[in-house]
Amino acid sequence: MTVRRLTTDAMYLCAALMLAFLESLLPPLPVPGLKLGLANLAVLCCSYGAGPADGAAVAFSRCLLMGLLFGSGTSLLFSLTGTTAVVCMLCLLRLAGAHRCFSFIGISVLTACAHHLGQLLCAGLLYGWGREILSAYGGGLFLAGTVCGVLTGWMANVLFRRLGGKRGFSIA
Amino acid sequence: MLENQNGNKKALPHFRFTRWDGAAAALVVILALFLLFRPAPEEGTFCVLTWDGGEKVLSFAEPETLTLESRGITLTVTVSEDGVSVTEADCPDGICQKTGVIRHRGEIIVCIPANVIIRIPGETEEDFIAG
Repeated sequence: MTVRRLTTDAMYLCAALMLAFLESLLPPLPVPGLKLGLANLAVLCCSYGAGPADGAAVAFSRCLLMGLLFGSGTSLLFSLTGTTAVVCMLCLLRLAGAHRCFSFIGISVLTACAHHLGQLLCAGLLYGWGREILSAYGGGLFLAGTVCGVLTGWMANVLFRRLGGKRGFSIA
Repeated sequence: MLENQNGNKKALPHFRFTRWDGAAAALVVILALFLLFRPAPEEGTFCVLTWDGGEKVLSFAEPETLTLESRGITLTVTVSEDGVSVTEADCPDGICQKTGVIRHRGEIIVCIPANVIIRIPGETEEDFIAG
């Protein structure tokens, strides 16, 4: 653990927190857990720019810090299950070699999907497994999640293309 | 292999939209649409209640409330025209109560600590009793 790695991860975390804060300024929706997922941009960049362990660290730290600073108990729980699912999906994708055929758009869509699966699980455990939970909540979540996932992934694509080119992200 | 900031050799994803991205997005959208618009399942007319003490068929046409005890846990099951639900239970997690009312074929209420299952079979009542 070099100082350079520590500080770069801290900067990623900062970016994630800023994006999450920006998101929290938007008008809240009545659906619990439905978010733009802008902070996932930072997590994605960190995971592929710095390493899977760094990505996981930034993801969990962001979740806990956001929950402590701006969230309530329920939102923290939803966030936590979603983030765990995202980290698992990122590890899975890395093991499966997804970077060979996907760009950041595909990876982002899949991680958004994983996030919503985690939230569905959380909602199911809290509110019971009725039909409305799965159909309306789940369907709406995945639809919105795909759109937001494409947006976030496209932004990551543009970032990696413009900053550093073939060498990927290189800060400092 | 490309190099990232830690000096490790690591592969990065592509930086432009690929057909696999389109496939992944399309897959998720289809899943979401399926979840939103799947055909509504048929309403059931009866349910089967199974517990440690036995099994009972309850018809939705005859509303009743019955209390049973299984593995030390007492459950109150209410059958009405709207369906069946567990209205009272002293099990530790209460998931059976949280499930609410079920009325469609294939739906199920379970109380794992009490080993109680209430399910609405896919067949009609005559077929179920005969088979």
